[in-house]
Amino acid sequence: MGLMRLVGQDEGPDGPSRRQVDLSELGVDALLTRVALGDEYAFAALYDQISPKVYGVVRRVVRDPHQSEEVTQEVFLEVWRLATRFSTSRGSGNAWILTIAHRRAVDRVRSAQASTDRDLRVAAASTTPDYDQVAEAVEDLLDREMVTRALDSLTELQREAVQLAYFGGYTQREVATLLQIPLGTVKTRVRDGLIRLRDVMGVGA
Amino acid sequence: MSTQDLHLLAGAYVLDALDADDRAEFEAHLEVCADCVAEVAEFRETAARLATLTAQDPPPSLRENVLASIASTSQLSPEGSPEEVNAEPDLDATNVVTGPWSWARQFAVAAVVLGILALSMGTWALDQRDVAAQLSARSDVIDSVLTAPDATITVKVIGDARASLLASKASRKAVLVATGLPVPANGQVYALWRIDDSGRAASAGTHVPGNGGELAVPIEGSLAGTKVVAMTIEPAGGSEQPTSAPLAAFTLA
Repeated sequence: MGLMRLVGQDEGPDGPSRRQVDLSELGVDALLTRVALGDEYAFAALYDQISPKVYGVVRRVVRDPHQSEEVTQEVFLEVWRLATRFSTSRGSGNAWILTIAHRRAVDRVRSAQASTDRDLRVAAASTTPDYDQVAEAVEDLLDREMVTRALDSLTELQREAVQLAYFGGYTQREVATLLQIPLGTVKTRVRDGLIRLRDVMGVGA
Repeated sequence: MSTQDLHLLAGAYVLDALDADDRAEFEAHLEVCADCVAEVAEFRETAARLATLTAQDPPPSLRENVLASIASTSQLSPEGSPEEVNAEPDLDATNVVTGPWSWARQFAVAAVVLGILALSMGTWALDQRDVAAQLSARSDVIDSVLTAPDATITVKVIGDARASLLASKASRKAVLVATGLPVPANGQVYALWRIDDSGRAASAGTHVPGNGGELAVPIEGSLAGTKVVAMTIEPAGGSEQPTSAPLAAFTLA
């Protein structure tokens, strides 16, 4: 159980709230701080806020809808368990949760495919994100357009390498095979691509 | 890998594009390289923005499932504070540890399990593909037990050997991890059994430990209806039913 039970919590996160604070107005970081205290309402608000991003990236990498739901559930369970260890001094809550989501999604794909050869060509043909699946622009900072523009500012090879790794869930060795370029080139492309994205998006640590 | 090369891996690390060896090497490097720590933090923020592109609403039912699952899941103690201990009293005197286990312990056991898997991989006289397939099937079960929120661990001491059963009631799966098992003579094997209420035993796999007497194996079959998981020594090829007294017997909660 959580470290602390708060007044008004017994009805559960879907019950009537006696809270003064409108949780839906809090950002991910503030919600995580409350989640760390065992606040299930804050967790529900956090879920509402970030689940489209989590599910979207998991779905993108895992592809199978049923497995994507399982992985998404694992991710949120992990967020709940580990919220006590989250610290904004090491990065944003948004990045923290999406790091967990991507890692879990990739783990699922790799464990399922470890003993079979992946069909690289089929996957490679569909590396562009499904823009039509994109939900309404999410709350914060950068909208989809800005991210798309940032991606457009990369060289084609940088963009391909970053997209194959992030959205395709491929290892850098697989990316090298797919793009038929040396591994060392992939390493630099991925890193240069992220540096460029970071600078264009104006991301600070 | 040279330090120069390691610096280059921050991008692939953040995108989870490193294979296990490279990842481990880079994570060790992160312990000593402040520049890479900073770069990883920035890249994580950057990569998180990419998720904006694929955002889509999950099925509504998922929300209920997630909220229900956290309501019955404990949170970890904050870093640095003493580990929460809520082991239940156990009548079996040889049980060294029992009860819900923390992530710290899960990670420790996972490290042991992975180490053992790596060792047994080196000793199996099988072709690479078989090894990979077996390893993958095993590690799927092991993963699922390790990450099960209700997983419990029970440790038995057998002479110089230690055997632990990690069991998840919800997933009806368990994994046996042992160290220091004597390598059996004359081609004998360690056999695992699932024993039900009426004492009937069903085979749950036979194994030969690695050189250091290590074993990290799933209990084959579903644990539905299983009261006890037992380990015996059996002649080469295994037996239909146990033919010797159990070396270890784990009673499931």
